[in-house]
Amino acid sequence: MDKLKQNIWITFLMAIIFIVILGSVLPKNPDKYLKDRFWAYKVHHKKSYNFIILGDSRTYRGVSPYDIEQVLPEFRVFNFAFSNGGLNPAIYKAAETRLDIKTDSTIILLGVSALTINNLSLPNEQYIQELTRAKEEVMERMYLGTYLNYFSSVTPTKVRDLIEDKKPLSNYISIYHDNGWVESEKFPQDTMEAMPFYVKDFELHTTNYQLVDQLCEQINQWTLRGIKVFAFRPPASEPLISLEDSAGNYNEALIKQKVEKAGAHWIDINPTLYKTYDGSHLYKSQARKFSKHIANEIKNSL
Amino acid sequence: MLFNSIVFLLFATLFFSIWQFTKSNITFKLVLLTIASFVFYGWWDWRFLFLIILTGLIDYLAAIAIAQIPKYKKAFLISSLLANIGVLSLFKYSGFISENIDQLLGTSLNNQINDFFLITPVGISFYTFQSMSYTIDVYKGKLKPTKNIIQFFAYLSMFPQLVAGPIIRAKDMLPQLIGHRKVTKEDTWEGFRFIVKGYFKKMVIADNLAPIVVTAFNNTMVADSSLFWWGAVIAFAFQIYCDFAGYSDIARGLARWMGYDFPDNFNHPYISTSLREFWGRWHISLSTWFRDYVYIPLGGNKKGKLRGHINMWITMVVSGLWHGAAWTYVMWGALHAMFLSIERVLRFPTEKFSNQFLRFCGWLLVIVQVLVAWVFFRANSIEHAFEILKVMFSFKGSLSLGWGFDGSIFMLLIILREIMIYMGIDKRINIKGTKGVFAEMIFYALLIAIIIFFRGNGSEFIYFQF
Repeated sequence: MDKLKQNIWITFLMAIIFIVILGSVLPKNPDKYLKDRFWAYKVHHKKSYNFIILGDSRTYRGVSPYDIEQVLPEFRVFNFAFSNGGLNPAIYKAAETRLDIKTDSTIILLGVSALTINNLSLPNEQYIQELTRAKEEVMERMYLGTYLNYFSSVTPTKVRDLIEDKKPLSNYISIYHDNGWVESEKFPQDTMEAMPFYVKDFELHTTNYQLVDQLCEQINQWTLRGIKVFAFRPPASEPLISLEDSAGNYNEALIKQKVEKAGAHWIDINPTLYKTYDGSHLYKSQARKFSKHIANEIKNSL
Repeated sequence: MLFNSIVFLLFATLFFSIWQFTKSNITFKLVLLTIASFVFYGWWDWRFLFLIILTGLIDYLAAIAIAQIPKYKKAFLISSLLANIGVLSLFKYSGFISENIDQLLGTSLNNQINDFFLITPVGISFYTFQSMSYTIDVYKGKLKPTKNIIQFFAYLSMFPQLVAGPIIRAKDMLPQLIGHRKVTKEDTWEGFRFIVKGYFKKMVIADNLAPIVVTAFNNTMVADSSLFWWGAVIAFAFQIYCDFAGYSDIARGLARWMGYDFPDNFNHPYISTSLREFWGRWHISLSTWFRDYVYIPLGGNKKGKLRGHINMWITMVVSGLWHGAAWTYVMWGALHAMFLSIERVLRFPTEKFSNQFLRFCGWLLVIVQVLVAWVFFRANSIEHAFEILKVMFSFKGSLSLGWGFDGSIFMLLIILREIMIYMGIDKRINIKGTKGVFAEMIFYALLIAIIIFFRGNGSEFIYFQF
């Protein structure tokens, strides 16, 4: 091999050494690659399940399929909830494609928050955005996301903080699971953090009871096909539950009545039993406790 | 396909793996290059491949006809030019022209244009100009037309420079494509250096400066701080420079790996001490294209001083319009024309200063003029540009450049580099022998690691839109 070509290989070798050193020292950015991979996988993987969970971020952070499977080992559970995810035909249709109808027993679990039956979540933006993403980008996110996380880009500020051993003033830790659950922690806790967002959303739109009727119609169709449907109101802080009731026009008793009439089983929750970090999302330990409760309720009614 | 994407990395790996087996089989080489280039372009939107093929076919046939039927050579040239300018007008300027007619006459032409024609195909300005220069050169007798259609399309669609230049003249490229070009060990090393430097400029400098520029220019309220705006415009000046020069470097590097030679497109334009010098260093392939195919055919400066100025104004305004279908680009071109006219009349500044202080004054004057013109280039509208300039020259407001810690680091890097070039320090750093080679290898290895870990948020190359 001539010398100059050899130089390129040696340079590459040195670059690999630098990359390995920097890659192991520099901070990672899981909120980019692992998050991207998580959503791409959630929408585009082809596996099917006999237990599907639908809802919004309160549900995908708050319901752990692992804990449901522990109580109900005969089920393969998938959390198919999305940020600002609405309960409407687009998502029902998508959920059905994931449902393994060949098994004896199939379950759909609905996390019915005020925002899931609200015009704001009607477009299911996150789901649609992920669904329409360019093929090569989906492949990149799904299959390279985990590896690309090692090569996370950093800013000089992050390097400075690392050198000065500066601890972040706040931190949002999310662990993304292939079964659709996002195990979450955040510090410091601020149970009023989510309130302004909900106030703003409810100023624009409140619970749409036409969507509730549409949901009931869908429940009716599912139950006629032998699919068991369960529903619950995702836990939140007391002030947020009151806000949801008043400003969001969320009438839990009425929704429960309609849903049960359509054939679903409503699981009653005591929202104060579970701690949230921002008023609307459960800590991971609380999510696991809550999931076990849900699973036991389902087990008792099967 | 973007150079800064994983898809391109796979594409390039596959291409060069096959390329090395082409050896001296020229036909195989050209077919591979053409197919690869079409895949590269079609990846963005395959529907627009027909445009390159259509205009290419017209120019290919027109050039042969010009050479074979000299009696009608003017007619063939005109039909070739009309086809190219027509396609360019239809896809790039129809929206702009109809909008202005609508505003002027109160009509609704714009609504009647099919959406398809309102999409500007990536790189259309580059390949149509490249194609036009081919027929013009054949018409002028500077070049013999090629009868090998594959050779012609390999030249026209060559993927390293297809969408953002440099604009390569047929007389420089066609001879390279015919003969067997051995990739020497120097080519491999040089190509490697070009590619690494190009990625560094684009992904580390330009992409990390982008947030500063976007924050400033995309805000609906114009910040009321003079220093902030100077900071934002300087950031944009380096962003566009590193973005575009980075692309050109990568293109040159890839060409070297194929055994071809592309001319230098950027040569540290911001160290220029006269605007004339600036235009000899900025986007050289385009500047020389306009000089040879617009300015000189108009008569250049050989028809008197006034005519020389008028020709220069026409060239600069057309060059502005080439960059984009908006009045801001026209204004950018016109401003440069005005500054160049003043420089021509006053004979100041010049690129040949013997006194260091005067050289610095000349540089300062040039950089201020260039920055003022960049405001129009980047602003959302002419009114927006004037608002920004008003704040810039009011010398008031907070004493922050608005770069933050991160932006300052990247600005410092590029500014220091340019200062070194301006002061000739880079030429004095010359480590010879094995130590020098080793130092260079460590330098490039470090650059690769920095590109990977300090890359900004990936975005398209700015010049794709032109």
